[in-house]
Amino acid sequence: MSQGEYAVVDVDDEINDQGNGLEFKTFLPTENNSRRATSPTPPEVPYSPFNIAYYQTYFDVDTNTVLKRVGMAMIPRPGFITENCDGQIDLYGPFWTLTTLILILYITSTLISSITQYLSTSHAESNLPLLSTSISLIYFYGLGVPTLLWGITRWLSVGEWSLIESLGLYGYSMSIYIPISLLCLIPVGILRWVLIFAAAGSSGYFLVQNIYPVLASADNKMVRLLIIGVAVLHGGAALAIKVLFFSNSSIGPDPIPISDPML
Amino acid sequence: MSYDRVGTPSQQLIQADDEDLDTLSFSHPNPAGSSSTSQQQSYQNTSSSSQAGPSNPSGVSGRIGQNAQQSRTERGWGGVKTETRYTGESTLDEPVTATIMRDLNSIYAKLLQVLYPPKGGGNNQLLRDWDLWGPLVICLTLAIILSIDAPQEQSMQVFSLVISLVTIGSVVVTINSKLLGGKVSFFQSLCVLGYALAPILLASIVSLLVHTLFVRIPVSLACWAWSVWASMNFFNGTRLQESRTFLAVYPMCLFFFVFAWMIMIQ
Repeated sequence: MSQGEYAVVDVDDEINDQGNGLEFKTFLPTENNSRRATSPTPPEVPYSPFNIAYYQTYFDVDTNTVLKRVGMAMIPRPGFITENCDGQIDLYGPFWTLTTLILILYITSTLISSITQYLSTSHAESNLPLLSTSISLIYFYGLGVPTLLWGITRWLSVGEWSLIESLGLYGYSMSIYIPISLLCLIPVGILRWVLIFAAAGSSGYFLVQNIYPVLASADNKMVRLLIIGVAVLHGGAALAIKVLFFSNSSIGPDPIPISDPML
Repeated sequence: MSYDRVGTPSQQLIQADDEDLDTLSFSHPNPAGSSSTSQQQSYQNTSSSSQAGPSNPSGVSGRIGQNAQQSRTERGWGGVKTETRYTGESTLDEPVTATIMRDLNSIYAKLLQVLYPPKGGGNNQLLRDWDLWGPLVICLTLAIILSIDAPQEQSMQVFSLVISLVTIGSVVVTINSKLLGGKVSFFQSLCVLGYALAPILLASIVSLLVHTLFVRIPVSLACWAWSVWASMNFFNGTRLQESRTFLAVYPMCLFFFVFAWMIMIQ
């Protein structure tokens, strides 16, 4: 049955190609209109979580665009969505940033622990649980927290932003951790703390700068206190990353910082 | 939904079929030049075979996985696609070994088609005929080998992790390329991604036998590159825009790299 559905999608596309007048092309102009607006909701495509064409508007990006956005997200500045994303944020960047971060955290942490074991010639143990840990931590923080935050602002009926924007901001804000995790391969305990702290500060500042205007638009001043929750959760996530993935040198004896044969 | 618009059923359906064939060709040498001729050709093929199919079954002979000229017809009934095939001989009273061997041969042929595509496009029909048996076998074998390789107390965890990573990962990669605008049938892409895991399986077998780190790392990296190359061959035919190709390829690299890394680090 599901095959039938997908086959239908294929045939749809084909009709679009040959007939030149059609669904995909008709909603492109409307999408351009909504790009100028602050909350992009493509009106032509009916909202349905099972309609793949609905999500395609959020994956309408090019390679250079995504790379530019990821790069710009590492620099903490306000107005990320309006300046760097032309008002419409995508979902490709955030999702694959988070997934890359999961993989990088898994790779670096397993590499660190196997180097430590190699140096101390102790009994080798597998580190596969780290993969499930990183998947649950990163997806929970990167997808669950923004959804929750968006839900709270919706519930308090403040802030004009869409769920996509909130997810996008959180996803892109985690991009700074990718180079930092690679730098954390350097087996110096204090340096790792400094690096993680710097990354948390930078991305936290980015988040606060971009979320605070949304909260500040509310009449109720108490809503602004939500930003404290955002900051605290962000600090917690950074601490969890440090303790779960880069704590080998703090638990065991610090390995001597040598040039790595495996790199 | 699309079938509601169909005016004359046979004509339109053949067109859809033809488009499908063209879309799903995994290697398209020069889409601008040759697409029109190949479209014409396949158009004729499909129309002739569908004419011969239901009315005159003995006219065309073929077997799944051996001959692409088998007769098949596809028609839509209220949006549900049904397909009728005739393999050329009665399969009711053949020995069971013949049935099993035919399926195994078809899996082998597809494996070869994905991993070592013959020059000049090869046989597109073979991959249109997707199956998930090959991917299932490959995924299970990979999970078993990795769990044998893992420490005793973690083998169950490794097994379930590998199975779920393969399933969820290939679904996510497929959906990603569909969202980016690639035109690919969902299950066919799952099938190709599953078959493309075979080099990783090879690497895991090698590293089960050879425990030296200096053998494992180059072998896994080479097999990773082979997997990525094999699946890229297929996805090149999905007509993604040039500027987006990297966006579709990158998740595939990640997907295969998880397994390569697991093999390296064990």
